[in-house]
Order: sequence, then structure tokens, then C-alpha cells
Amino acid sequence: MRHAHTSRTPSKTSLLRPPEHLLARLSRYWRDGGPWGWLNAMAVSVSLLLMMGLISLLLVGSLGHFWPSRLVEIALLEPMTQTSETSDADSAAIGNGQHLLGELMREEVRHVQTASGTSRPRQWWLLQTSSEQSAAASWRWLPKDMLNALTFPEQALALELRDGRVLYGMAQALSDPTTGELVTTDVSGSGKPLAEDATPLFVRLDDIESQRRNLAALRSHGEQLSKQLTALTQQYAARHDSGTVTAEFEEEISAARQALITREQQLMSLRDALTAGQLQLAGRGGHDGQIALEEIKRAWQPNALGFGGRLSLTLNRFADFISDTPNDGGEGAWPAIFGTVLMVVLMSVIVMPFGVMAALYLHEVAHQGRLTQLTRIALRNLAGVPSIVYGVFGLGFFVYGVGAGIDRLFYADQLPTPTFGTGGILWSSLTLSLLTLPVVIVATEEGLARVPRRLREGALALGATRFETLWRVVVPAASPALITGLILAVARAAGEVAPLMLVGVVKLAPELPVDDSFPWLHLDRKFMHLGHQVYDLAFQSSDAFSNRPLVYATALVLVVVILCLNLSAIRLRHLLAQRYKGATE
Amino acid sequence: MSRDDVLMPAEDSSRNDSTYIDAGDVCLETRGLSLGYHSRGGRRQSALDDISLCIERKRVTAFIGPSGCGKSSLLRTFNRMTDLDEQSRLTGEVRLEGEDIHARGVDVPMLRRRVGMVFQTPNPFPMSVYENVAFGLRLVGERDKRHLDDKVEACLRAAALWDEVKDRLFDSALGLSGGQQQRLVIARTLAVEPEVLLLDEPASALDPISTLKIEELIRSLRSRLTLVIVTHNMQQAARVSDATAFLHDGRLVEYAPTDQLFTNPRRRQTEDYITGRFG
Ligand SMILES: Nc1ncnc2c1ncn2[C@@H]1O[C@H](COP(=O)(O)OP(=O)(O)O)[C@@H](O)[C@H]1O
Ligand SMILES: [Mg+2]
Repeated sequence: MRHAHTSRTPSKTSLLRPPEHLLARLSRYWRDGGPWGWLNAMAVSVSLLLMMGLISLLLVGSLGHFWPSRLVEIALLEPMTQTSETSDADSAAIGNGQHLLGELMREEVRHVQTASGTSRPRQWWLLQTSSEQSAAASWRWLPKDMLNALTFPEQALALELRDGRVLYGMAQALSDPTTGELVTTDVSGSGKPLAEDATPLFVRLDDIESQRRNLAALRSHGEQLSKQLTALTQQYAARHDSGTVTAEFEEEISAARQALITREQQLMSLRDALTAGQLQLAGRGGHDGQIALEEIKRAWQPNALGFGGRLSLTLNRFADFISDTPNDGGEGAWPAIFGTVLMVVLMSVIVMPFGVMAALYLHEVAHQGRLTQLTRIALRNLAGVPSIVYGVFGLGFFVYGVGAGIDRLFYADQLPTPTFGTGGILWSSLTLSLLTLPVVIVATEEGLARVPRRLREGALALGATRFETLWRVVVPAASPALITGLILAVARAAGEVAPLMLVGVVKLAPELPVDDSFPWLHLDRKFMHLGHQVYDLAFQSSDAFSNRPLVYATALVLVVVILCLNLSAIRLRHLLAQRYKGATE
Repeated sequence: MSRDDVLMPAEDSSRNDSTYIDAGDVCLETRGLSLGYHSRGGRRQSALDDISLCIERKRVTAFIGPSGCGKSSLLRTFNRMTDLDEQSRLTGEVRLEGEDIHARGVDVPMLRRRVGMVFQTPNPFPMSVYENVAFGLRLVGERDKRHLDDKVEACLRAAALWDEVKDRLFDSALGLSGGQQQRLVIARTLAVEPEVLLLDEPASALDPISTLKIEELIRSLRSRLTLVIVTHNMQQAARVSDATAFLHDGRLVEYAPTDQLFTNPRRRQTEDYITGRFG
């Protein structure tokens, strides 16, 4: 009965919506927040795309420079056969029927004014040919209609020299290791002419590489021997005075002297062997002549390389770029990487104790009155001061103030040459510590605020003093927040360039701030910084066009270095958060 | 001095006729204790009003009363945890074994080692089980590993936790269940060998089984030290305590041996509360 009754009663409001018009449906879609979801997703994807664009620009821009592109040999038309339209100054200079070997960089259509007054499009090619005197690449614009033939010779060689020059050409002859005469054929192996098979060249280069390593080992051993000999000679002098020189001792000395002499001779012959090797290169429009094998850093035949070979060569050259020191013209990022990392590490070492102490004072010790609140607000605002202002402060206070004072007190004998009274890595780190101090304080304070009261009471109830409670319970529980502060500080400091230019960064530092001479860490030295190197390569060099790939490469290295610094800090925070999971609420 | 005076030494001893504490058995004693908090408007809010009572050594004393009547506040005056509230003002005396704990020159950490406290919410430190128990010992400079090991085991056994944690001594204490955490906190407090153990609603955040375990633990500790327990659960007070004090609105209404207070309350207010007519 009851069932029948209830089922017959129609419900007043159905759960189903009544049918809606399109407009009503749209307005409901809007009210439900549908468009917001899409908008948010769009914002995320746009940011992601921009990030990926940035990374790929850096990757392509920098790796393209190290990628061994194919070498093209171009035969130009005889100047006589040119039409009247092409006989302008450029082409006259090049168009002498020669062959040119190089990398094809780019094509461009330019409009040229002809004698009859009409403008005619003309296609130009940009060819990078062998470097001349300096390390800078040399470029040639060639009008396409002057080209006669275009080939990709298998045996075309690209040579990277130790002074930074890149040469292209064909191997012609190689000096024989024993006689020193130039020979054009591979005598020991296949017997083919060198121009067709350059294997002996690569064998010789590998050989030289291992000999250089040998040489370094021998040299250090030689130094050891000479030290031993000096010690013995002094002993001899002492014994001679007291008249206790034995025959064995004299023998010992002469044996040591003999060992040193043989070692020196070995060194000499090795060095001679190294410098003796010569390569005769047919430059094809570039360097024609002999090159000392020792000068060659790397040689490859781009047209004969497969994809794998190209890739490994690219990575090798990039690794060299990372580990090299830039010398006159040569490229390298190592001192800048080292300087950046050391500066950030020093900055962290300085800022963490100060920031944590200050936050502990503000949050745990100070009476929470108006003054504390004011200090807190002031600190937070300090985070917004432009970094160049910190640079000015660092220059005025640290360099001219503290540094000059230190010089007067401790390095007076070296004045007027400043020791600490000029920019240096210490002042840079201190300036950046000031810059990042507010971030660390704010993050630490927030972490301390999240440590629950019951933890503190628990420690106090066990008879811990306030200090013990702080150091044994509160600070460990807040340590993930401390590391968050460190991460923010590192992220901000590693990318700063402007203030550093005032307090210690230079274009080329003669020495790293760390070496094997006492006291190992030289805080007064100037240093190199990746961010500054990017700026310097892009705007301060004479050859901005050929430097552009290096700008990308350096920027890429900077991004990767900051990423690594951050990732290690994040890893540390993760470990601490695991450990103190649930300690904060 | 009559026994009566000893139990409630204040003037209004007329309230009470349970006369059984020997003067020599008094462990904690308050005289005319009042506690006020300065609220934001500058007004003084009174939390305790002229409390005088004695707590017997090696017995379990329970404080009962409606929420907000000042049970926790009273407990916190015994180990000077009230010092942490900057706005609190305290008058009157608290004596531990005859010594005024608010006197000048009192070593507060030492006082807190002698008067241990366990809070309502379990608050193990974010460390291993072992380090939690060893915390108090390390504070007083204990370094000897053997001694620490022995002590940790003894305390965990005393807190009836050893069998449950002996295989995870070096895991984080935060991974334990709520009941285990509370027993760990008790073990941690026992490690510094207090004379008095204050328990502020130690089981109110726990499930019935864990509550039962805590109650057993309290009974087992009774022979070792003086226990003072705050509870809003009257059955609990009846089950575990020897004497019970009923507080209302910051005042001590009645204080008597537990069976007497629950079976034969002298005061109307007490009767109303324990029969559930108010509170
Ligand atoms: N830190 C404090 N600041 C201000 N008032 C407090 C503080 N602690 C407790 N009180 C007040 O004191 C009274 C007693 O509180 P409490 O001792 O916690 O009671 P109970 O533990 O019996 O519930 C309450 O009215 C409470 O509002
Ligand atoms: Mg309470």
C-alpha cells in the first residue's frame, strides 16, 4: 500500500535540469567557471612554451656553433667571363677563378643597383673560410651567379688550432717522424697519397696527445729529482765542512745528478719530437702552408663523418668549451663557471648564519612590539631595492671603506697597489649576501612560525632552556624552510651581474680565486662570472657576429649552473622535509 | 595542625572534611594561588581564584571540572609553564616539597625536570623514537652510549611501549600511532626521572583502547611518583585517581578522596556536575 502511494506522488523538484536554450547553457558554462579552466590552462601552456623556446634557442644557438657542418668547395668563374652586371668591387676581389673551401653559413637575397638604373635581386652566399691572423672567423659574401661548381670533398679537413683559429684545407704532406722530411704518401700503411687518406695524420695527432701527457708526467718527476738533488747537495756541503763525506755518499750524489741529467735529456728529445711534426696544408683560399702538428688541438673530416661522429664531436667540443680557459681569442667558460659557483657558495656561507640568526632574533627573542614589526616591514622592503644600488653600496662601503682600511692596516707595504681596496670575490659575495639577506630572513621566519607551540612546550617541559629548545627542536623542524630561503637566495644571487661589475667581476681574470699557493682561497682576487661573460661577449667585443654562438653557449652554461645549484638545494630540502615530515603544521 | 588543614590549608577549610593527608606526605602545595590573563583590551581575566590545596606524594590526584574552569592553568603553574604566557600574572604560592617554586633564584629547567608534564596532544619531537627518549638525558650531558641504551629501554618498558617499538627504535617517532606517541611522550618524560608527573587530559585525543592503555600505565606509575591528572572524563577520574578536586570558574569547589567525592559529594555544585546536570 505504502509503496504504491509513494511512487504515485510526483516529486516537486526534479534532479534533472529542464531543457535549456543555447544562451542559457552558455551562461551556465560561464557561471560554472568553464572558461576559467581554459584560461588557466592557456596561461600555463604559454609559459611552458616560452620556457621551452628559451631553452631550445640556447641549445640550437650554442650547439650549432660546435656542430661540424659540411665543408663545401666552391669553384668560382673566371673574372673574364663575368657579365657586366656582376663586375662590382666585391666580386672583382674574389672572382679570380680560385677554389674556396669553407662552411656555408647563410643565403641572402640582396638588391643590387645596376648601371641601367634597375634594381635586380641577386642571391649571395656567406662562406666561412679559414681564420686568418687572429682567432676570429673570416667571412666571405659570394654572389651565387659567380659560382661555377660546388662539391663536398670527402677528405676536406677542419683543424682547430690551440690559439683558437679554425683552418680548412686538404692534407698534402706530413713530415716523417724519423727523418723530418715531408712525404706526400702514407709510407707505413696503405701507401695512398695523403690527400686521399688522412689516417696517418690522425694517428700522429693521437700520438702527440699521449706524448703531451707523458711530457707533463716526466716534467713533474724531473722537478722532484731536482729537489732531491738540491737537498743532497746541501747535505754534502754540511758534511764536507765537518769532513765526514763517505764514498757512498758521493756516489749517491752523482747517481742523483746522473738521473736528473738523463731525465732532462729525455724531456728535451720528447719536446723536440713534439715540435718537429709538420703538416702541409693546401688551404683552398685560406691558409696554404705548413702547420706544426703540436699546434693542432683537434682535426676532423666533417664530410666523412656520420651522425654519431658529428654528435660526439659536438659534445667533445662543448666539453672543451666548458673546461677551457679563454686566452687571447680562445673560447672557454671554465674560470667563469668556477667564479660563479664559488661566489654563490661563499654568498650562501655568509648569508645563511646571518639570516637565520636575524630571523631567530626577530621571531623568538625580540619582544613582539611595534619596533619589531617595523623592523620586519623594513626588511621586507629591502628585498625590493634594485640590485645596482647594492652594488653601489658594496663599492662605497666594502671596497672603498673596509677594503681600503684593511689595506692601510695590513698591506701598507704594497700601497698604492690595493689588495683588498679593490673589487674582489669577498666583496662580491658580501654584497650579494646583503642583497639576499631579506629573502632568507623572511623564509626562515615563516618556517619558525610554522613550528607548532606544542613542540616548544614539549622541550621546555623536559627542562630544556630556551636556547636548547631553539637549537635542538625548533631550528631542525624549521630547517626545510631555511633551505627554501637558501634556494631563493641562490636563485637570486646566481643571476645577478649588475652589482658585481662594481665590486669584483672582470672580463679576464689572470688567476682563479682558488689555487695551490697559500692560503689557497684568495678572497682578494677578482674573478670571472658567467653572466658578465655573456654581457661581455654580446656587447663589449669587436666581433659581435661571430661571437653570437658563444653568447648562447655561455648563457646555456649559466642556466645549467644555476639549475644545478638549485637542484642540489632542492634535494637537500627534500631530504630534510622527509626527515622532519609532520613537524610543522 | 589538623589533617583537615593540611589538605586545604586556606581559611575556608570548612568546605572539606576529608582529613587524611599527613603533613609529611604533602608533595605539592598551593596557597592562595590566583592567576589572571591580560586580555587584549587591557582587561584582566581571572583564570584561577585563590586556590589552596595539597597534593599527596605517590598518589594519583585528578582535577575535574567543566571546560575553561582553569584545570590546565592550575596544572601549568606547578612547573611554571605559565611563565611562557607573557600576559599572565600570578599571585600566591606554589610549594614543591616545601620550597617555593616562584622564589628568586629558582632553577626553572631543574624544576621542570623534577615536575614533568604531558600535554593533551601528543608532541613527540621530529626525531627517532630513541632520540625522543634520550632527549632529556642528552640535555643534562649524558654521552655514554651503553647507559643511554639501557635507560631508553627501561623508560620504554615503564611506558609499556617497548614491545611495540623495539624493532623501530631508529624510525621517526612521527610514524607512531596517536596512542603510541602519547606513551612515548610519557617515556620521554620518565627518562629525566621526575618526582611529579602532570598529565593534562592525556587521553582526550585518543581512541578507547589507547585510553585504556594510558590508564593502566598511570596506575602502574602510581608507586613510583606523584601523578596529577586533568580530565574531563569523570569515569576516568574515578577509575585512576585516589583524590579528586572539582574546579569551577577558577575556584576550587571541592577536594576529597575520589570514592567519597563521587559517592557522597558535600557540595551541591559538585553533585550537579557529577550527575551530569550541568557542565
Ligand atoms: N594563554 C592564555 N591567555 C589568555 N587567557 C587564557 C590563556 N590560557 C587560558 N586562558 C583562559 O583561562 C581560563 C582557564 O583556561 P584553562 O586553564 O585552559 O581551562 P581548562 O583547562 O579547564 O579547560 C579560560 O577562560 C581561558 O580562556
Ligand atoms: Mg585544558
